[in-house]
Amino acid sequence: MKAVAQSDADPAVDAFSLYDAEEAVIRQAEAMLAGLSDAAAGVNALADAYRRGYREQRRLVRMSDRMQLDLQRANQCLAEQRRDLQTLNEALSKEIEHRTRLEAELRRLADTDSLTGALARRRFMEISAREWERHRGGADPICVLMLDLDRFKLVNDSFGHAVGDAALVACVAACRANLRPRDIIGRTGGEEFAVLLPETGLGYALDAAERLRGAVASAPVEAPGEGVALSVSIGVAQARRGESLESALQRADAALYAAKDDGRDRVRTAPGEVSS
Amino acid sequence: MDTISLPATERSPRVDFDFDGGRLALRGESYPEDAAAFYGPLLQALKGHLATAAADPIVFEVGLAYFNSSSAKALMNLFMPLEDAAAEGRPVTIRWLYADGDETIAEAGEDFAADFSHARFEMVQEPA
Repeated sequence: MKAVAQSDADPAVDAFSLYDAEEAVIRQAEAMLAGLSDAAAGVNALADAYRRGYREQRRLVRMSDRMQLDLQRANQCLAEQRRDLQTLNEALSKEIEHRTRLEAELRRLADTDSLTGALARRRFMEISAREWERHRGGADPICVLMLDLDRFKLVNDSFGHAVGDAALVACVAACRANLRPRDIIGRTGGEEFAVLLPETGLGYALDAAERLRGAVASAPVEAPGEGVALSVSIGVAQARRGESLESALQRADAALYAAKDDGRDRVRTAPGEVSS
Repeated sequence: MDTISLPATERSPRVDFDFDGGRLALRGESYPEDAAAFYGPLLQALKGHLATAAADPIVFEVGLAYFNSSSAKALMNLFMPLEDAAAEGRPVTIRWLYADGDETIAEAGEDFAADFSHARFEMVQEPA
C-alpha cells in the first residue's frame, strides 16, 4: 500500500488508479531525464578535458616556437661566424701563399747572382761545403777552380759597364756550357768565379779548366763597332786528404795568380799539385 | 582565388599556390611570428578550392629547410583536407623536399608520411 498523505493524494487513486499507465510514463520520463543529465555531465567533462588538453597543447607549441626561434637565431649566428671564419681563412691562406712565393723569390734572389745566373758567393760556399762534407775522408777526389776574367777593368773602362756586364754573362754562359750538371759555379767577386767539380781528379779538372778557358776566349761579346776579345785565367786545386774547402780555394786562388803572372789566358795548378 | 604568390621572407617561405594548375609549393624557412595569420588564408583557399573544383590532380611541393612547431601544425592542417580529397578519389601527391644530409627534415617528412594512406607522399632528396 502506498503511504501517501491524504491531503496530497486524490481520494480516487488511494487503492486503484485509472492512470497507472500515465504515471508510469511520467516516472520513466523522469528517470530518463536523470540519465540525460548524467550523459550531459559526462559530455561536459569530456569537453572540459579536451579544452584543457588543447590549451596545454597550444601553450607547449608556443613555448617550443620560442625555443626554436632562439635556436634558429643561434644557428644563423653560428653559420654567419663560420662564413666569416672561412673568408678569413681563405684570406690567410692567400696571404701565406703570397708570402711563401715572396720568400722563395727573395731566397732565389739572395742565392743567385742576378746578372750572370751563377750562384751568389754565400750560396756557392753553402752548397760546396755540403758537397765537401760528403766527400771528406772518402776515396772520391774533388777539385776546385778559381777563374778571373783578364783585364776586366780595361774592358769596363774601354767599352763601358754594359759591355763589362755582357762579358761577365758570356763568361758564365761559356763555363756552364762546358760543365756537367753536378758541377757548381759561383760568382765570388766582381769578375771572379769559383767552380767545384765533385768526384773529379786533377787530370779531368785540368781538362775541364782548359775547356772553360777556350770557351771564354771564343765567347762572343759585342761592343759598338767591334768585338771584344775575352780571356780568363784559371787556378786549379785538388782537395788533399783532410783539407778544408777554404784551404783548397786558397790554393786554387794562388794558382790563379800564378796564371796571371805567367801572362794570363792560361790554366795553372796549385803549387806542389801533382797531376794524376 | 586562382593563385597565391608570396615572396619568401626571413621567417616565412615562398608560396606558390597555383590552384588552376594543380600545383602548390612552399619553399624556404618557416617560423613566422604569427603562424595562424600566415597559414590561415592558405588553408582557407585550399579548402575552398577542394570544395568547388573538379577532382583534378594536385601536387603539393613542400621544401622547408627549417620550420617551427606552429608551422608543423599548420602543415598538418593543410595535409588533412588533401588526404580527405585523396580518400574521395582525387589524385593527390605530396612531394617532401629535403637537402642531402639534412636528417632532421628527412625524418620530419617520414613522420608526416605516416598520416597519409590515400595521397601519395614522395620523399625527394635535393643536393645540399
